[in-house]
Amino acid sequence: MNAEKSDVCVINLNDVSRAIENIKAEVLKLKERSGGMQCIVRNCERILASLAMIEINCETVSAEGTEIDEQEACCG
Amino acid sequence: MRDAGNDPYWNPYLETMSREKLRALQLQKFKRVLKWGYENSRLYRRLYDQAGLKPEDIKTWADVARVPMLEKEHYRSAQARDPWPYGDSLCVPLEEVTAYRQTSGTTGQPVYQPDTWQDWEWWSECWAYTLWAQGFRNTDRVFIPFGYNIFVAYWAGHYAAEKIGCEVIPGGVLNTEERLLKMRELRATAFMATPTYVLGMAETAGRLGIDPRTLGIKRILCAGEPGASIPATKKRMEEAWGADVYDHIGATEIGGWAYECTAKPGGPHVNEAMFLVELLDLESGAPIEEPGRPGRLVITAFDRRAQPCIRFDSKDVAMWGEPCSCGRTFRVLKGGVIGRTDHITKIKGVLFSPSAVEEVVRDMPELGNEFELVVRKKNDLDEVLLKVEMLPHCSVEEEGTIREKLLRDLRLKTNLHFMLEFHPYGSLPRYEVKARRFKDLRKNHGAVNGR
Repeated sequence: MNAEKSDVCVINLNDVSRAIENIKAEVLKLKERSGGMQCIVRNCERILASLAMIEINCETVSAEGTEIDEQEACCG
Repeated sequence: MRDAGNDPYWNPYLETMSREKLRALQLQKFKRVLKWGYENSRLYRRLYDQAGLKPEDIKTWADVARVPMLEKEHYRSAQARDPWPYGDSLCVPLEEVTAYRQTSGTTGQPVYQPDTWQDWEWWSECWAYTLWAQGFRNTDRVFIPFGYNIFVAYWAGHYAAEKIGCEVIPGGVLNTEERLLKMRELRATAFMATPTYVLGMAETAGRLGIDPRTLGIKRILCAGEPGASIPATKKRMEEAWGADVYDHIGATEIGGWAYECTAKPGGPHVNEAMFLVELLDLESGAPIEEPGRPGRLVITAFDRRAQPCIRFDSKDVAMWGEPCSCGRTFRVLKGGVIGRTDHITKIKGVLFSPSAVEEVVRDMPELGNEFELVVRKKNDLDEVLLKVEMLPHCSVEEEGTIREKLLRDLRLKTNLHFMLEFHPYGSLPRYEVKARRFKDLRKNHGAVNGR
């Protein structure tokens, strides 16, 4: 069942984390600029909920009190 | 970008993480949800204050074991307060709640379950792990023969199937015959149901003159009852439908926390990235780490926000199995949920779990799928009555042989003597969702641990 070695890909989880933070910041800006238009606000909320799922799926183990090193994950 | 359809894992990073790293991640997540519960819910704050415990006290696994367990009754009493209907258990402003579900109320007042939209995304995310591990892909047309009601049941399965790209057919208000005809008409390739209903649908198909094996169903997800992890029941379902049958375990208050994979290791994997599942000795409460010893399941959902579930005593009984060949490092529960602490009872001084009877009955090809088990007092003595159905093609002459074999197998499995009643095929109650086959009519029901 295990994937063959050639199938293995490596992703940088810190890159993923940074990308999520960037998107989150943009979505929050969009919400601010919505002027309260519910069609924007509510859809932004949904994007944030989906982003939270990516965060959960890519969470790294942090050593307490230390900076997190660049963390890589093998997928496959 | 790889061909995702061939990837056996929904999340290869978490599902194949080393045990050491996974345990560290779990501790990190446990601390976070404990803090969330303490800071946002009066229920948890009260519970932990009474125990003299603050979130910052939790640093090691030994500390985790000191955190008070939560029971259904805690939710019930907290929900009697404002804001209606979730009371002190609610962790978010009421206006953030977007979904309501409730427990079935089998053991008392139903527990109300609020979820935010993020919680609902999380529900379907957990189920996506399940569906992906069981081979569901965007090429599947998934039929959901479920009443789409107030119970969570297959709601999250529906959303998860959509999330992974399946075409989903909601078989809501249709009756069983209509559902079967619709599955045939639309050429569904998969469906989800309780084991009781999977077998019931096959019976109904037979009455309609349809052989379920001709319908093209490739995989069936079972939830709500433990049958898909009981070998004899799983075999019956797989033979009836000519399809692979897989187990899934979840609960309204907890989430979808365990799933069987295509390697079929004899039980489901615990989704240990999303849940902490502790197995505690039935008598002493000490943690069980080794395979093969039954214990009580205490479960924490790490990422649920509106009404968190922290060290919840599920009252389910299970045991660890051996590692699976699929490559997942998530532990396996051998045989899935093998009983309930409130169903495990003493009969004539012998510990008894009703699931043992299902294994015996479903292993006898002459008997129908349905049965009923009644424990009662007769002249101050415990008596166990098992009602079964003979299949129509079996003759009255065969009854004696079947009775003899059934009594012998039951005796071997349970160390108990049973009274038997044979009923005409089709006469015992049929169930669409969870079956209620076990009835304990004794006045002083003495279950394990004094429950």
